[in-house]
Parts: sequence; C-alpha cells; structure tokens
Amino acid sequence: MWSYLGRRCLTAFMTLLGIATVVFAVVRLLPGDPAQVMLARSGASPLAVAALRSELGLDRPLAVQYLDWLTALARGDLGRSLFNGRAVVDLIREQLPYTLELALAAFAVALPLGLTLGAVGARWPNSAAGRAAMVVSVAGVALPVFWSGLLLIWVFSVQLAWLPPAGADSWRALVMPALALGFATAGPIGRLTRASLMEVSVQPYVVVAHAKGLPERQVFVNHALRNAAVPLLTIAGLELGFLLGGAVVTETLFSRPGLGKLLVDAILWRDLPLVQGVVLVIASLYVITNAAVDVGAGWLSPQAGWQ
Amino acid sequence: MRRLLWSVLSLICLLPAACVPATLPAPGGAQAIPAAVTTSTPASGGTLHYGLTLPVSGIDPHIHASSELGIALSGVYDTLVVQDLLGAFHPGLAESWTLSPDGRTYTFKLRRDVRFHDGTPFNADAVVRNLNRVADPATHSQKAVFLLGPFDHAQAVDEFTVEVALRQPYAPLLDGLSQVYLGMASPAALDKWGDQYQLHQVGTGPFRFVGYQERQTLVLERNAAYAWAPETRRHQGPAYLDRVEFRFFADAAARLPAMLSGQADVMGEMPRKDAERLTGQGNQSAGRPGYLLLPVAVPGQAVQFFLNSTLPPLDDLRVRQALLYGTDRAGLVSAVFGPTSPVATGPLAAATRGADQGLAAKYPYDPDKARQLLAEAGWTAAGTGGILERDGKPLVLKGVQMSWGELPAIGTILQAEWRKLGIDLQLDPLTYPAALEAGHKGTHHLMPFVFSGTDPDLLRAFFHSANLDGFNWSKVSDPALDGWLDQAEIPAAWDQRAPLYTQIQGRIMNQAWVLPIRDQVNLNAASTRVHGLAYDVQGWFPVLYDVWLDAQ
Repeated sequence: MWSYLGRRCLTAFMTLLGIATVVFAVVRLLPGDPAQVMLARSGASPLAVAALRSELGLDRPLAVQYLDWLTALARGDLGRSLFNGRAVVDLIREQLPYTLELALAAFAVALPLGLTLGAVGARWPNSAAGRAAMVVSVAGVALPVFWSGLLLIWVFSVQLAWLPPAGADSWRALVMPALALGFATAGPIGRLTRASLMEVSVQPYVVVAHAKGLPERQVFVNHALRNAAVPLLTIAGLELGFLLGGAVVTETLFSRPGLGKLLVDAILWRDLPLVQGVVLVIASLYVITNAAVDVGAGWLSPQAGWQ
Repeated sequence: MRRLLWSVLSLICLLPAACVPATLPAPGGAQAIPAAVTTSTPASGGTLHYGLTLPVSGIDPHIHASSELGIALSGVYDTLVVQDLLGAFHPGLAESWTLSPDGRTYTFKLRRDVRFHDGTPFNADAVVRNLNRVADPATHSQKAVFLLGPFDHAQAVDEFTVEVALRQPYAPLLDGLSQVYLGMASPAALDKWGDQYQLHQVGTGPFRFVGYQERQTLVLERNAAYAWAPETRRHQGPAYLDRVEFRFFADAAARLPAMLSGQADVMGEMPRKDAERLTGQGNQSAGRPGYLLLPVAVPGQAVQFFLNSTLPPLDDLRVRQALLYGTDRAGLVSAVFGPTSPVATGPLAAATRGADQGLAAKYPYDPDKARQLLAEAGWTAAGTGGILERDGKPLVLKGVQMSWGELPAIGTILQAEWRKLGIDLQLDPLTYPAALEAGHKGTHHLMPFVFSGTDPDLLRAFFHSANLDGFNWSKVSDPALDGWLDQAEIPAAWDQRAPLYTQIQGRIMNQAWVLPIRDQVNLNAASTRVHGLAYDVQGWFPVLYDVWLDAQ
C-alpha cells in the first residue's frame, strides 16, 4: 500500500505542475490586456496603460514570468491580485471556508438522497415508487440550479420569510443553496446507483448468494451494495471535487462568497495571478479527493485493488 | 401550507408588470429626484441595508476605480471641495481657495476643526501626504491620479494652508478634488497599515469604516464627532443613521427577492422590470413597507456606439450619417428601456455640464435620407437578400457586442432596422477585456461604450488623436478637434470653456463619429422606511449623511 501511495503522490505532483503550466499559458493567450481593463474607467492615455503594464511586469518575456512564478510558488507565494492588490493566498484563504461549507453541505444532502433514490429505483424497478424515484433523479439532472434556486428563494424568503435570500451570515443562509445544489448533485448519483445496483444484482456471486438462501437484506448489503459501491465512490468523489471547485451559479445566485465565483470573475477580468492561484488550489483539492477515493475504493473492494 | 401552494403557483403564472414611468432628468446637470414629500421629521438611529453590485476591484479609493467603492465609501471620506448638483464648487475640507494668475497653482486654506476617525488632526501635511500617495507610481493608482491631471507637487505653506502646483493650467482639477477618489485619508493610518490599508480605512467623514468582508459586506458606523458638514448638505452635526451595511449582489435576479424579503432597504441598479414589479404589485400587506423608485441621471458619456472612421465602409462620412438617419433611436430606446427613458442626442449625456441640448434636432429618423446617402456613396441594390453592394462587395458591418446595459437587445433591433436599409450588421459577442482589445485594434466598425464623469474634459480620452492607441474607439484624428480639446482644459472660468465644448460636440455629430443611444440612468429602489435619500452630482453616489429611517 505504501508504494501505491508513493506513486499516487508523485503522479499528483506531476499533474499539478502540468496544470499550473497549462493555466499559465492559456490565460495569457486569451485576448485582452489587464492593464487596459484596469484603466478603462479612467480614460487614461495609452502611455499610462503602457506604464501600468510595465509596472505590473506584464511586458516581460513569458519565460521570465513563468520562472518567477514557479520560484514564488516554491516559497508559497501565489502573488498579488492585479485588480485587488491583495495577496492571492489571503483571498483564497478567505473564500475557501465558504466553498468547503457549501460543498460539504450540498454533498451531505446529495449522497443520502441520491443513494436512497437509486436504491429504491433498483429494488422496486417497475413499481410506482421506483419510477417516481427515477423521475426525481432525472429532475435533479435536468433542472438548472439557477431555476430551482430562484424557486426556493421565492418560496422561502419572499413568501414565507423563513430564510435569508442572500449572503453567508449564518447557518440559515446555507439551507437553500445546499438544497438546490444538493438536489442537482443527487440526480446523477441516484441514476448511477440504480444502474450499478441493477448490474450487480445479476452477477454470479449474487445469484449464488440467493441460491444459498441468504436473506434478501444480507445479499443486498454485503454483496450487491459493497461491489456497486466502487464506481459509486469514484463518481461521488468526482462530484465532491466538482463541488469543491466552487459552484459558480449557486454562489452567484445566493450572493455567497466562494472560490467558484472568484475564479470566474478573475478569468473574465484577466486577473492573471488570481486565476493561476485559484486554479492550482482547486486542482489540488480535486487531486486529493480523487486520491482518497481511489484508496477508499481499494479498501472497499479488493477486486478493484490498488493498481 | 396553502400559502406555500399559492406561492408555487404564482411563480408559474406570469405576473403583470405595471408601467411605472421613470422621471426624466432636467438638462444642465440638475437631476430630477422624486420629491419624497414626507411629514416625517428626521430621527436618529437604525441600520440601513444597502444593496449594490459586486465590485470587481479592491476598495481603496486612491488606487481603485470602481463606482461601487465610491457608493460605499463616500460617507467615510470628505473631500477638499464639494460639487453641487449644478456643477458649482463649495467649501469642503478647504474653507477657501485661490488660483495663481498663470493658472498653475491652487492655494487652499483648510478648516481647522476637522479630525480623522482615529483622532489625529487634519492639516496641510495630511493633504500633501494624500496627494503624494496618489501621484506616486508605486501606488498604481487606476483613477485618482488621472483626476489630478498634470499634477506636479503639493506643499504645506503653513499648518492649514496647502499649495497644489500643476505643470500646466488644468480646469478639471476642482472637479477631480471633489470626488471620493481624492478623499482625505489619515496619514497615521496609511503609515500603520501600509498595503493592508484598504481593510482599515480611516477618513474624516460622517461614517467610520468598521469592516469589509471581501465580496460580501461592508459595514460603516456613525462618526459621533462629525461637525464639519459642507453647506450643501441638508443638516449639520452627526449623521442620523447608526450603521450602514452594504451587501454585494452579483446577480441581477437576486436583487428583487432581497428587497421583497426586507434583507435590503435600498437597492442600486435594479433591472427595470423588477423595479416596476416592486412598485406595481400589491406589496402593501400589513407590516410590509411600500417601495419607491429613485432613477438618477448619470452624467458623462451616453451609452453609444463609436463608429470606426478608419475602417471601410465607415471611412465615408455619408455611410456614417446614413446610420444615424436610418436608426429610429427614440423607438429603440422606448422598446428596450421603456417609454420615458432618455434618448441620447450627442456624445455627452444631457445631465452633464456643458452638454449641448441643441443637438437634439440633428439626425431625425429619416430612412429615405439614409438610403439616398448610401446610394450617393456608391452602394446599390444587388438582389442577394436585399443587402447593398459596391464593386461586388456586400455592405457588411461588424459590431462588438457586450453583455451589459441591454446591448444584446439593442443590437438585435439595430440589425433588423438596418437590414431594411440594406446593411448587414454582424454582432460579435465578446467579454469585456476581449472587447477592449478589439476596440484598440480597430477590427470592428461599431464599438459600444459608456463612461461616467462630470467634467466634459472626459471627451478627450475618446476623441483626441493622442489617444488613438487608447480609448479613441472612432480612431479620430482631427487637428481642429485636438486644438479645441487642448484649449478647453486651460481656463478656470466655465463660461470660457463652454463655447469650446459646444463646438467640439457639434463637430463630433457633424462627422457622425458616434451613434448615441441612451443617457445612463442609475435606477435605485428604496423602501418607504428610508427618508432623505439623494444622490450626488456624479449620479452613482448616495449621500447617506442626510438619510434617516422610520422607527422599526
């Protein structure tokens, strides 16, 4: 297991370095110049724009900028936001807890809901309950978070005045975003759970377990669920990674702080250091989550194993 | 449960939107603020919740340029001079000022009774420190330094007298000094906090800065020691409000629910349909306040398309004029913004000082004249889908399209109208930075833009040949215009500058370098609990000092 972990760490590091390089290059290939964007509200002269570009170091050769960035990264310095003037590390540190909070809350809604929907759909596939479960799952996949979020706001904030429509001040402000996002995430989990369970239920070892006379529940939990869990865990890990990447639409609609909106704004406004820093942090979260999922999958099902 | 069901059903049905006319701005810089006739007397106390859009930049007024930071911080800082709604300057932190005969040195005599929120005294050294900070290249000021123009240096003559020296005369200086971006910050706080200053701001204003949660909220508290309000304010002494909490709403759809649920008392930049719903629907249920719309005319440049005069076929004056004659601007604005929205008639919005009201008669909607001009320019009907051709090439125009200000809707209408004239308008949706680059490179025929400001000198950035490589989207290089723009910056007396700006605007419209669409309006909504809310001459910034709330 340790050599496996060691190899995973090395792969993770190489992945992150590759991502860092690609983002560095791509964000500079986008049309638009940050200095020009920053001064567009002042009607500054071209000389002033050029001066600002030079002061920010944006006109140095790409290789120099890249090496500077890597050396700063080695020191743990992600640079300063161009538009904000604040250290990227500070901005990320402020926004990350809100993203984690929303991701975990949404996941806490999505996982039980998705698993339940999928299990009901697999256990009683042709009954009313089973069909209803699948309709709800598909609704989760199909309905945009923006729509379901607005609906929740109208009902719970405007009409009933139970919950605040925006912000991240208290746990009450987390309820609707978690519900909207959780419902959307539960959809794919539910569908995959059902498909996975149905596939496993026709496997030879399940048939043999039934033939041996084991109670239905024991077959379901010890054999079917345990083996169906591996692909589920992988997908759940990917969904969690996606949530950790920041759910931009939810954050925008509910006026919540978070990494997703921070990143999208940084890209839209060409705030190069902030884009690089946030992408690196999100990518790291993804890599860690997926590594944990792979280790967990290997533990759950020896057949999957640690390759 | 029943309420729940009805809420859900009502969401599915379309709500009829009542038409609420926005009041038109009066010309010459005065705004029409609906007179909230109220018999309520000002009472101290309460917290105002103010909603605004998310600032893209940081919030240090000396460094950053967004109007959102001005909205939030104009209560924290005082300025040397104050500008009233008609464009006249009044004493602020400076009691009086004189200008040297060569127009290059201003001498300000400062008030002696002013203290910063941290207790340190305000004096000439503080002014010098502030101006130097703005002018220092290491500060990377994105707006404030440009308001100072050809600033050379400032020096303290004595404890309460400061001299500001310019390299050449610059009439817009007082206008710059009246803006929050040149507000006076405490030198002690600047020293103490260094590059973290934006999170710990200290000014002299009626509100003190309590805290800023990045991308979430900004909180201010009353400054109990405030005793130096300018004469333009409606009262003296400390502010009425205990606290002001600004909350940032990134998404336009989230603003209406925030007002309806009471999370915000005032909301800026309401989408028009949401604002109408707010005042039109029966919202007066027991215990819920009603709502009031406060549309404010924003001076500066109108929302307009710059016509690239170096890119064929728009290098031909007749084609540009055809676009102006061939666009029913009043109909377009009415369709997109509502029947009483102000149609722009020239490069400056009507609410700007020096805007030429006489331009309204130019370029009435005349499609026949437009067709005639196009024919004169050599464009003839060829039969392929009705698009005109010359030398075998179709009349195709490329326009930049951005997502703000209903530009997509405007673009669609223009496409339809111009197709009837035989022009094929192709719109290119671009993000803001990509659009700026496209404008810079001059790859498109139409470049939409808008710009806020109170001094007509802002025209320089867009029409002076020195800015061809900058924001001169029409690529204008006209020596007469350059001369007038340079000259108009010099004299301090407005009545010497005004005729030059009239000539400048006349020339811009004669040459059809822009297609004006609509004067900008900042549409605010406020609960009727809020009294005394008014906006300053810049159009964006509320004067919260005179605001009071009904008791809860």
